[in-house]
Amino acid sequence: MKLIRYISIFVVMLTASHSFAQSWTGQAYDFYKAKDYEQARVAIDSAINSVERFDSQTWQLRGIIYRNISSGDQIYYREIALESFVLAKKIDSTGLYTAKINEYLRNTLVRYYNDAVTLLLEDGDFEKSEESYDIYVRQHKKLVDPNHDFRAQNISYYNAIGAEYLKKVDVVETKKKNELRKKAIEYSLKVIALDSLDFKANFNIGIVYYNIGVDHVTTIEPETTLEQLILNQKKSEAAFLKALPYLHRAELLDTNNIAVAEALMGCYYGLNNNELYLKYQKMFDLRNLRGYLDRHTTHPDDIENVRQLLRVYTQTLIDIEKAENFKKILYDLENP
Amino acid sequence: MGLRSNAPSPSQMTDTRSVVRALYIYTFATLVEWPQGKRSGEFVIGVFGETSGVYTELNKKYSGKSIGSQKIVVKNYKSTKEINEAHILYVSPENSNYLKTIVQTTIKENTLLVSEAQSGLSRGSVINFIVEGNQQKYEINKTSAKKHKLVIAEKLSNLAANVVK
Repeated sequence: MKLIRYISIFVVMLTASHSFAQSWTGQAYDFYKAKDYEQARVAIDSAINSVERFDSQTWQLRGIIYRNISSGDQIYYREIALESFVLAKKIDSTGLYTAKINEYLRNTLVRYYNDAVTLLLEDGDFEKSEESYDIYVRQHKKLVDPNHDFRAQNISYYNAIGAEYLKKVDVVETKKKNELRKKAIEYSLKVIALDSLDFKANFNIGIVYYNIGVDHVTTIEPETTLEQLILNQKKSEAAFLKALPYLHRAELLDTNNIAVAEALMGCYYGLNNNELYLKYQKMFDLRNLRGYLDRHTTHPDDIENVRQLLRVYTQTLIDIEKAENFKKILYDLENP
Repeated sequence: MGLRSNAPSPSQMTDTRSVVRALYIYTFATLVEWPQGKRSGEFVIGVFGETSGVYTELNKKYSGKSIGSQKIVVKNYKSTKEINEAHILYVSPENSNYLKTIVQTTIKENTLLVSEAQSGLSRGSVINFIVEGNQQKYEINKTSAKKHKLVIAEKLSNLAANVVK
């Protein structure tokens, strides 16, 4: 999903049948060409208070001028621009300018979309981003094409906003994590409602539940009670179980995705299901073994890496000889 | 400028099992009564044969904390010869073959012997971790507890998955 680059190629083509030379519209056009949008605005507002208001081109130009004003309340001016294009279309009884006006409308409305993107990625204002996105969709349907299919764009936007909520989870205190995760799930479910086979949405939901499962265990106060520990284990189990269908769907959609395998490995580990945990751990190890071995070559005293290699050769890619070798290396490192 | 929606990676896999085991071991410490001779000095929690996982969790969470007036010390034993004076001894699954050898020492030292092994209780453990459904639970051998001169709180027995009397 990207910002839609709007390249203004607008040239107001005042038709030959009209003479705007001495008119308000003509003056506004001259100011517009000179990029003096403030003066252009004054002139064009005078035009719509004169008989020139019955000309579609006057309203088109008004829309263009208001859209170009870069100071003050941009949203307010954008709304005036849209109103002007709508009136331009209405006055254009022959439909001569319909295609052109629709293009103006599209190019103006896309600014709401781009605002939504900027608000989401740069400002982190998710609510305003969604408001802007909703305006974009609603107005596009109302003013340009009621049958326009937003499905793909909605999927892209909701996935993006869901992912942004998830990113934010990592930087907030524990109490706020759940709220953000709830929002991430909400947006991912919106995507799934549109396309149940969307990889990102399924994966993101799986990851949220996986992390909730982990948190239920890791956030238990050290000096806890037995009852609390049992309760949190149950909550953790419930979260891991919720993650599984989404992660398995993601796995079907991208069979070689190592992040999915890692998440499934974590869930089955947390669920104390050794058979399936080892299945995914093996996939993970097959992928990472080369890296562990390379690391051992360059950093032979990396004790954690040696432990990983020992675990790999003992548990998943079983090789007794190699395991014994790394056991000895580990012993030597631990007992210098 | 693109709207990136990169799927986040799962957090590096957390050793949730060791976290749970360490928490259980701490709760055992609060729900078992040791003989008078073990109620002063340091409160030693030993881990036999594992330098990561449970030992790491116990060390991180409980070193320096207290059980009553006794300061917790977490020790890692790498051989049976090193095992002594622990209040609690957790024997990791890969070292469960040593259980029968260790039992006599732990009886003498009034050590709460905790294992995670097939038939752990019949091999002399007082408490044995098991998996029931998808959860880690524990079972207790009250006869072994008596041999070790340990008093198990009713709550600990009531919440156990299995109690051998």
